[in-house]
Formats: sequence, structure tokens, C-alpha cells
Amino acid sequence: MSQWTKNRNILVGLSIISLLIFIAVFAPQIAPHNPTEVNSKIRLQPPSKEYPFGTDHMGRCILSRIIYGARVSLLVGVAVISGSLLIGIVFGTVSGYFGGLADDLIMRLVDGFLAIPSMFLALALAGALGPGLFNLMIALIAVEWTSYARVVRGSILSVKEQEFVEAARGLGASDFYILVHHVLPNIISPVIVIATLGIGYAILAAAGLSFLGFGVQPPTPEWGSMLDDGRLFMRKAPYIMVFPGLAIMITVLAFNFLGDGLRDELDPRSRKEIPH
Amino acid sequence: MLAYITKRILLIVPALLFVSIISFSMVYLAPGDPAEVLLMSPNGSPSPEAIDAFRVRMGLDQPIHVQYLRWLNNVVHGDFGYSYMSEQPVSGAIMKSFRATLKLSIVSMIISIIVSIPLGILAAVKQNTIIDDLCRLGALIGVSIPNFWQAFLLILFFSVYLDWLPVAGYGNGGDLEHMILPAITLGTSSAAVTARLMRSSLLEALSQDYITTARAKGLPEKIVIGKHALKNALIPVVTMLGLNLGFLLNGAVVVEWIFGWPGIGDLVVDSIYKRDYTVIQGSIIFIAVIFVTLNLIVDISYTYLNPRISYESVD
Repeated sequence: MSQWTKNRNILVGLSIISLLIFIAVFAPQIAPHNPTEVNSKIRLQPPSKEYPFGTDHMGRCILSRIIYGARVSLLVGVAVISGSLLIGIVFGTVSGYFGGLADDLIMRLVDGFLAIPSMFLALALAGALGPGLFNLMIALIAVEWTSYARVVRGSILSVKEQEFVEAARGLGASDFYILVHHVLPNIISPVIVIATLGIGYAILAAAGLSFLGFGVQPPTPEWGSMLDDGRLFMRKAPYIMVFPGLAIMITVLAFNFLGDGLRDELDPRSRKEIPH
Repeated sequence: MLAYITKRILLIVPALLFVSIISFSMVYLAPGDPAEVLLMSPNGSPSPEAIDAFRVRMGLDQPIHVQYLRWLNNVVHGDFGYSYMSEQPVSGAIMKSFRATLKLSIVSMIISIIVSIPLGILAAVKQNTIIDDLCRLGALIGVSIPNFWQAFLLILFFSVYLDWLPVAGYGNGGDLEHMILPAITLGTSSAAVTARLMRSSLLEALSQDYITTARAKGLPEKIVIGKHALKNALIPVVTMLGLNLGFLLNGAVVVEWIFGWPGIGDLVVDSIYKRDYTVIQGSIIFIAVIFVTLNLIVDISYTYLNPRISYESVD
């Protein structure tokens, strides 16, 4: 653990993420105003003491909306990755450990999903399922799970043939025992790395889909749809678009920092071959 | 090698078949009857006769499997049907917009190469200095910045504030003036990825024994890096450029829509808004074919350039 804290990327990433979680949890205490309170008298006000990030086209406090928006973004990121992990680990394990027909079928399914560029697949699914937070998550899980299935399968294939697994089997261990006690612990590292980077990607993609109108619906404060709101007022009130975009970028950056740092620490190969 | 290529090509068939099922069933994933939704007007629901007539005209009255097989047969022959909205052939719309996307992608690619390769080399050569740190931070920001926000910042600065470039549009057949901002936006993330790869790949090459030998025999550092290390370091970068086209396709969805660039991303977003299913289906299939072919070429060229990779174990 002590060497981890020496890794600047991990430190920076974790600090920002902790702060974001804090903001999301204590949003009602931190936000200066009600994020959905409409007040036509104070439309499109520039940043001021009362409204540090200004107000939007409906007179809502942008800072408060950004603070509440952290809830949606973090929720989407974590939920999408949890769902993808669950599906990916189950399919990847079955595929890698048991092989044969199951492996063939699952890998062809993965190929099929990977044949469509992710943003097109997510957009088409989100469009077909209709707007809403839940449908947005389904669409993103559909594009994310394949990478976990592939990584898990690959790791299992390489672990499976190693001596300690042979030894366990020789001692009479069952498939399930070997999987849980010998194989899974060895694939945790690569999975943690891609899951961390995956949260960042999911948040970015979710904001993009919401920006296009396929995600979270108004009046729920969400960063992507706030950017969409600001589009029409960009000449008059550019600050409407500046702050939500900044929030998305910082959040995604934090997960990328953490993921990069974890890769350096957890993947001994990359540490040796690619000095940093 | 030949067996590997054959196997890879054969594996494309089930993948594309799956894509065809996904795109075809898109119509049925959506809530509501497509015919009714499409004919809905401000005056209220369409009459049952109008719905029936529309169904017959668009072939929606047949059983699902018949519709699918008929559609698939047409698709294989390059016929994607007619748009529900404009009633024009879908294939024409796709080809037209794909040309616009291709044009934009090539310019983005050029911009991203010009920026990323020198930066990646610089970061590697100046490893662990402030220059390296800045390059790496820049690359990380490049992959984290939402492209729709970056587009807005560029428009705000270059179009609204400086008034140098048009806000959006295709201009006179997609001229350079209209292309600069979307191309920069689109190229950013691939530039970031390429710069990172260039850096790590050059660092790896520089740690090899032949570099030590080259240095030991007294070659100047410029030749060691420029001639010996870079040649090997560029192999993964060049193959990555192929994969970057996939990145560009993904980015095109939002970027084209924001800048009103009439490419395939814009076409898909627009037809999803309009629920123009034949166009959505056709575009997804078309994009998948392009994407899969691209990945195949990348994989084959990678194994060709890198004989150390055994293709027997790759599936």
C-alpha cells in the first residue's frame, strides 16, 4: 500500500474521486439552492455571489445542478461497470475455463457486439429503448461487457495451464473450488484496471447520450443534458456550457488517472517494459 | 498465415449475421407500433386504414421472419430499402453521408498524426522531465475531454469570439473552412492515444540491446533514436492508426451532429430522432461492415509486420 501512495496518478485520481463521492452524498447540504427550482425572474444570470456559476435559461442555479449532477454521473458509471462486470465475468469464466462449444458460442456473441462501433451501438439501443436512466444503462452495459468477458477469458486461459492449478486438481479439488480459490484471484488485477478506466468511459458516453437527448430526462440535473440546455444560449450565456463540461472532464480525468496508476502498479509487465 | 487469414475472414460471417439481427430487431425494441408512431401527426392518431396502407407499402404486414429474410437478402445485394421519411433509397443516403464522414476522418487523422507523433517522440526522449509530464497530462486530458464540450469551446473561441471560422455546416461541398473545427474535435482523442503509444513504444525500443550496441559503437544519439529505435517503435503506432479510424467513427456520432456535418454519424442521430428505421438499420449494418473490415486489415498487417506474434494462438 505504501508504494501505491507514492504513485502520483493514483493519489490524484483517488483524491478527486473521494471529493466527488463526498459532493454526491452530501449534495443537499452543499448545494446553495434547489437544483430544480424554476424562477423566470433570474434567467441567464452571469456568475455572481448568490449564483457562483450563474443561472440557466429557467433561472435554476447551475452550481446546485452540477452538484446534484454528480449523483447521476457516478451512479451511471458504477452501475454500468457493475452490470458489465457481472455479465463479463460469468461469460468470460464459462468461456475460458470450460472451453469447447460454450467458448465458441460466447466468443461469436462477443464478436457480434464488437462489430458495431460502441457509440453507434449504444446510440441505436438507447434510441430504440427510449429515453431514461435505466435504458441508458442497459445500452452502455451492452457495449461494455464484452471487454470484461475477453479479459477474463484470456486471463483464465493463461492461468489454467499453470502448475499450481494442475496441483490443485491433482489433489482432488473441484472445478468450482479451483475457479474461486486459484483462478479468480489471479485475474483480479487486470479486471480492476479496465473497470476503473471503464467507469470513466461510461460516464463520458452517458453524458454524450444525454447531451443528444437519449439519457436522463429533465428536470433531473445531469451534466450532459445541461450542456444540451445551454446550446441555444451559447452566445448570450456561455457559462451555462462551461461548468458542466468542466465537471465531466474532471470526473473522467480522475478515473483515467486512477486507472493508469493502477495499471502501472498492478501489471508488473508494463512496469518493467515501459518505464514511467 | 494463410490459414489465419481465412479463419479471420470466416469469423466475420457470424458476427455480421448477429449485427443484422440486432439492427433488424431495433424496430421491435421500440415501444409502440412503428407505423402508428410514424404516421402520428399534430391532428391526432392516424386512421386504421392509413396504418394498414403504410404497413403494406413498407412490407411491415408480413411475419417477422419473412420480413427479416427478405430484408437480409436485399441487404446482401446492397439494397437497404427506402427511407420511411423521404422515401428515397437508403443506400444512396448512406453512401453520400459516408463520403462526408470519410473526408472529415482523413483530415482529422492527418491533424492527429502531425500533433501526436512528434509529441510522443519528444516525451520519450525527454523521459521523466517536465516536458514528458506535460505531454502525458495533455494526452490524458485529450482522452477525458467530452468531444461535445470541446466542440463548444472551439466554436465559442474561433467562431463567436474571433469570428474566423463558421459555426457549423458543410459549406461548399465540405470545404476546409467548415472542416477545421470538427476535424480538430474529432482528432483529439486519437491524437492522445497515438501520442501515448508512440512514447511507450519508443521507450521500449530504446531499452533494447541493439540500441546499447548502437550507442556503444559511438553513433550520435540522433541516429540511434531516429534510425534504429524509431523504425521499430513505429510498427505498433502504424497499426494503431488503423484502429483509430474506429475511434473516429465513434466520435463522428456527436461531432458531426453538433457541427451539422452531413456524415454517417449525423445521419444515424437524425434518423433515430425521426424513427426512420430503415435508415438506422442500413447505417448500422454498413458501419459494422466497414469497422470489421478495418479491424481485419489491422490485425493482418500487425501479424505481418510483427512476425514474433504467433497467429495459431490468436483467435
